[in-house]
Amino acid sequence: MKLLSYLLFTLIILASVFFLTKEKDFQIASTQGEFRLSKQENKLVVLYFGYRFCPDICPTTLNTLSQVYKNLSAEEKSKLKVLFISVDSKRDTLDNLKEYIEFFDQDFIAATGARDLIDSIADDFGFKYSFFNQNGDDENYSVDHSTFTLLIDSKGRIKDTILHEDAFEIIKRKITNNLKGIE
Amino acid sequence: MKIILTITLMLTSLISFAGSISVEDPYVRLLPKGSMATGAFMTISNSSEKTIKLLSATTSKSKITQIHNHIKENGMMKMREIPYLEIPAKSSVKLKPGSFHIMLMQLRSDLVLGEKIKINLSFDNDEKITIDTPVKKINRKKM
Repeated sequence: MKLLSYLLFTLIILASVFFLTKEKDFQIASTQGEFRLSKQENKLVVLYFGYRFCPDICPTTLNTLSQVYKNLSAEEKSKLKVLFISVDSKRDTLDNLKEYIEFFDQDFIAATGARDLIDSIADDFGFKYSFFNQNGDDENYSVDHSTFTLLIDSKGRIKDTILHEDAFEIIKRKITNNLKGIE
Repeated sequence: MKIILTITLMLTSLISFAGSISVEDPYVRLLPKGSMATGAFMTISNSSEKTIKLLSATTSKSKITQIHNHIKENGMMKMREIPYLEIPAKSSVKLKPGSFHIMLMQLRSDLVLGEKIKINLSFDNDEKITIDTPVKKINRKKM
């Protein structure tokens, strides 16, 4: 019995290690052309999912990221890619996303695509979202969504997670510390 | 006389008084052109001995204006309308990003930095307040 629980424990540990280090890739149309994760070698990708009409959570996150980004050195900036994936491809297009994302920083990238593609990327990175339509009309809905931001490498391995409630200094440290690990 | 008037105007623009309720530090979040919705934030204080409810908010800037809260559930942040917001006796409630806010939906025009948006608040003790709410860019450091 003891051996069995030991084996089970080892299995769980191995499974989680496998899951966390599993290589992932995706390709999506972005405001800067096709974005393929595996092509972002020697880059730290800041991955965030949201939607353009998000009035509070998304702009707070993007504002914070832009403040951190503005204070980085040119070398650090060259190693960082901020990617905002809109899960709301019904209302968000690359054209209107471009205006939106560049409001936060000219270098930031926004992307969106077919529902299947977005769902597969979201699933891969443990991101959840769901449309909420209070009034039942087609245009005015909000999106319930996860609020974390992931720091990933070109192989889709999660290096760190930024929580929405993290203080500015913590977010800054998580990004700059992980940039140090990028050659 | 002119100075007194100026000072009075300056003070009233900073703090809105009306009976038991006062509103401090109101602002609307600046969002990019084409945005459909934004949030208004402020601190609402109740100096009376009993709970007062904020029943509604209206503004000509948006077609729909609602009182909202954020609820964290199943790992997701959910934004929901609430029927009223209670301001307990002798205390204040802060409407802030990620929490309570007044939601301006279906904006009639783009937001402009520094623009003042008039927001009318109605409370259950029959108090009505109109606040000149400036549009500001939000920096997290200051939150």
